[in-house]
Amino acid sequence: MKKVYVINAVVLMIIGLFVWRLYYLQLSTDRYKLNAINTSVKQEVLFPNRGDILDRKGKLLVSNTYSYELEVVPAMINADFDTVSFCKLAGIEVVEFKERMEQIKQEKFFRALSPYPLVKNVSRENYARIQEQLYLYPSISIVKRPERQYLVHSAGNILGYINEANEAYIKSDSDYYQPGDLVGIAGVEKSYEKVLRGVKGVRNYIADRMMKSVGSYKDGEFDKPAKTGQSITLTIDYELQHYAEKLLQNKRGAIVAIDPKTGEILAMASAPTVDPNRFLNSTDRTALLRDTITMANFDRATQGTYPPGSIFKLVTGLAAQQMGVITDSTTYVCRHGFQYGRLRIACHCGQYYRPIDLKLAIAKSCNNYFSEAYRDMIAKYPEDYAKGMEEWRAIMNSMGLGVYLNNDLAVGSSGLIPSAKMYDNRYGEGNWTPYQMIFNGMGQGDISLTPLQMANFMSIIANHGSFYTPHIVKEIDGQPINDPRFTELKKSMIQPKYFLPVIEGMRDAFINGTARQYRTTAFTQAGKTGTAENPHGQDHSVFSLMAPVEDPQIVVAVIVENGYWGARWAAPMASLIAEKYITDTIERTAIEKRMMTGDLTSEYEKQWITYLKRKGWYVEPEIKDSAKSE
Amino acid sequence: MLNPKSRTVLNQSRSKKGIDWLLIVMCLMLIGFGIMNVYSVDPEKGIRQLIYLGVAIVLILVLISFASGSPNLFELYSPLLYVLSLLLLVGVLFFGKEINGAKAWYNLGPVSFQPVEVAKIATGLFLANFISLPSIEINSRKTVITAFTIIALPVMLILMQPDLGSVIIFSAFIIALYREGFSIWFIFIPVLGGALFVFSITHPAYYLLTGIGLITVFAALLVIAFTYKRELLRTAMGVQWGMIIYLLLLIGFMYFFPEWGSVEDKNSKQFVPQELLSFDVYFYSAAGILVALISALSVSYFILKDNNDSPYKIFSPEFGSNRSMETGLLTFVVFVLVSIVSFSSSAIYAKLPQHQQERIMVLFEGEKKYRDTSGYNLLYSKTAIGSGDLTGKGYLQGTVKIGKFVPEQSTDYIFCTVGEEWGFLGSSLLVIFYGLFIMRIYYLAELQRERFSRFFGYSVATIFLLHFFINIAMVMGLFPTVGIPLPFFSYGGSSLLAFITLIAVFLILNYQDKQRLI
Repeated sequence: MKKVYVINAVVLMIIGLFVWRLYYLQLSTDRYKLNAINTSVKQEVLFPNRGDILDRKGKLLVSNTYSYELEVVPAMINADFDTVSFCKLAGIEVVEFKERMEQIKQEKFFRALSPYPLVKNVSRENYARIQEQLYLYPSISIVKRPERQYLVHSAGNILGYINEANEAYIKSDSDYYQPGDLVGIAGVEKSYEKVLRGVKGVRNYIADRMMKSVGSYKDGEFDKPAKTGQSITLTIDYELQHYAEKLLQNKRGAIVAIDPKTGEILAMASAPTVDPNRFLNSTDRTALLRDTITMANFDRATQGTYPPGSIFKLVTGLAAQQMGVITDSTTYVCRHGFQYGRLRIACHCGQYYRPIDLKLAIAKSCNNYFSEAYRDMIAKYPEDYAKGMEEWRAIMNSMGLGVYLNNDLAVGSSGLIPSAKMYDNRYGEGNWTPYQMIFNGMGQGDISLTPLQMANFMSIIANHGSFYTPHIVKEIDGQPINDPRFTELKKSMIQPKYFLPVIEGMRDAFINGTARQYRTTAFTQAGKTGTAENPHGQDHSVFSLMAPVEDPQIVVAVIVENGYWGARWAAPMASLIAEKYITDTIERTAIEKRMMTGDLTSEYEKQWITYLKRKGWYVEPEIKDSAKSE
Repeated sequence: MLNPKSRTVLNQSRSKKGIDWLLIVMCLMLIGFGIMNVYSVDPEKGIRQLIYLGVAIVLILVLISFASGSPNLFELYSPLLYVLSLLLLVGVLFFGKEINGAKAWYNLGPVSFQPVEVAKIATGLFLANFISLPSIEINSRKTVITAFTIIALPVMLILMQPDLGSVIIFSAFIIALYREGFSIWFIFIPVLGGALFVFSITHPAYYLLTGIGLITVFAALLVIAFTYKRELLRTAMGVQWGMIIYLLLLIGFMYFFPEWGSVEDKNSKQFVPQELLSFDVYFYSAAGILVALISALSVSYFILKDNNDSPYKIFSPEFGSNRSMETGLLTFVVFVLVSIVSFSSSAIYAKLPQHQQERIMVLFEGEKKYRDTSGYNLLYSKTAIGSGDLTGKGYLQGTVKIGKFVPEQSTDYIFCTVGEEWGFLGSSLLVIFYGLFIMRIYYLAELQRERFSRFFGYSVATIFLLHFFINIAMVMGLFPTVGIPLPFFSYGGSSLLAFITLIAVFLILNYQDKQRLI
């Protein structure tokens, strides 16, 4: 009998052991529950549609489409895999296939159970055909990939492009981004990335050992749908933008047009123009990024810094009045230019040896007037030039010159407005006079601005001293933006009354001044020509315009690189832009034709050869004479 | 006041029917729940298991009709069945299909079966037959040797397949023999030896042996301190003398051969850093020798004093009594054998194939370390069970099961599904119920009046117990991985039939036993 008790005791002990172990595994430790969730429940990220981009009139510029891609799970390729027929189906060579498989195996963190892209950009037509036959190749699947669809072929500088996020990008918002995510890299795609990207969704599913889905987890209780990105409405008027680009074709430069009442950028063309469709293809994209000769991918409108030339005289005139060193009736005598000791600056204003006032000086673009005015500004405090310089500089900065505009564009430059400190460094502290930088007054010397800044100060003039920060987006998802950066009016340091003589001078430029060829009866214009001297080559053609004068609806700044002089290229373009915008048609078709057919590429080539020669890299091309045969 | 005779009558009338319905009901409930779980893993297999059940029931009914014809059916046919099973075991080595590295199956078209299942029943019956012979003397050398031979023949053939799990199951017969009177040492020694063997893999042999030696010395010390019985004192003193010689030898070996039985495998856990080891061994052995010496001498002193003899007679050579000498010698020999086991174990372990090694190590070191190989099964089976929480994920809804992470989840690892889907409550209940089922078999077996049916009953109960224990312990990480199914739960027609047959045969024997009036 005793032995029976022993055995029963053993059975009971075993039961007790098991119940204890079950308690431990199931109730006491969370480890296995978590492991179960970790391994058997998987998440699939649902990528949202990216927001659309429209122009101010509602025209769709950028939208979404899909490209198809063939994926392979290397572990699932078994001995039955018919490589030859698969390659035939996919339209690739067997060699390519083998190469790609090798490539995949070499990848960092290679896992045989993970899917890898095998063939990209499968066309829609082929998609259906391939899809039918895919059941023969269980290791291959076809995947839809969202892609940007550009419905226009220009404005690449504004629109930008998307591509896979790099490490720095992911770091910037590590909670959201994963390697492989498509993100905005340039243009509004980048600056409005957070708005356009939407919100990722998640689908939970139960996975088996081969990572294949075998059903949804808890009927989708924890799933989250993807939220489509918000669409943005640009301030750009695409018709105007396209027109500006057509005017600039075969030339290099930029046109910026702003609505001064709101700061909305109506057009922002940079030439050479970029067709955003080229961004979709990595070869083209790389070629674009690497082009250092035409620098097509460089947005000249926002990043290009140029010496503004004579259009800067407007600013000098305003600042000088504000600093009190001149009034609207102050005159200076132009002796065919500016003289001081051995320093001589030529002038072609035509009003020699008599006193010229501000208005006239602007209309005729007198170099002497503004050199003297600038000198007077800097020398306002004769014992302390630095003080005068800094006072002048503060006024410049208040007009958005020499500082970042803090807008919603992806790139930008602050340009350069020199400071006392800069000259201290260059010449030694306190060891300089206004004569050494006299060229600044005329917009040469150390001054450089971006075309956007040029347009912006025209806005200031149009508004008699105040402005809205230029911006590129006016609505998000149909709702007007409420970013205070763009909705709040900013004031420059110049009082409104000082603008009147300047505006009159600009208006006179069209009546009997440097821009008189381009006046039109349709509306009044006021502007300033500029011929910016360029140390590397031919002068740039610059012009800034506002129209109509009584109630400006548009301001335009144009720069055409190596365009010889302001009235040759920049002025007519600015005027045509204004005409197009204000009257919606073009009457002056002859001028238009001349602009559009104008071609400066030979000029650019000449400059390039000069540059190479200077560097000693130039090699005379061999011209094969076809008449001579070997 | 009821007189004994009427009590027997009462007993008889209570179980007069002879058919133990309780066991049948419990059995069917287990089978039913088992089929439900197989269905959850794979509906197709579940349906098939149901069909196998049907076939099994039909075959059992056929068996019953045969048995009711001849009351001693099993006794009569047991030798024939035994020889047949041996032939089948031999045959499978040549004609059997090789699965997972073992030749254990006969594949005859749509049906396949394992000869080991037949051998279990046959050996049980034949052994029962043997020890129920009237001329048998339990514990005589002849009986012991014959019994072990009857067990050993099929075991050796099974080892050639190889199928370690089934070999372990055959130890059920040893336990049943214990009930019939065999000494408990037949159980203890293999179990302790096995445990020592396994522990010697991960712990240095010297360390273990010193420990065991010390325990023995202190046990003998306790006996000496607390008893006055002369005989016991002499035995204990003998043990101490034996230990003294042994420990001296151990120290000597430690000095000359310190690397023996050491744990060179860098994967295993070092219990003690190697530098300290020798110090420990010397110190503790010396301490043990000292204690043993003092206690042994004090016994001698006490005995001599009792006999009014001079205490100095301790040192005379005639002093040793037969009893203590014998005990001392026995102790020494036993420890030498134990040492051999311990030292050899790490050498044998090193010769095992890798996956066998890992199966053992994974229990000591946790499955994370062996995640990609043997640990994988264990990790996921524990995951499946552990994720069941209190009430489980619900019938048919286990995510780990659906994901097919656990291999063999319809056969060896079927309990994982129970754990995952029915939670702590469900699986504890099953464990308890299964235990009660086994205890019922033991209970009924104990009531048997004939040795044949009692022995067979114990064999059946123990076979179930071992399957139950090993399978569930393995699945929960308490026992190394061996291919042992859970009766009534693991998918498989022939195994289901075999287990049902075991129960059925026992029930028939039980019925017949109840019918006898003497």
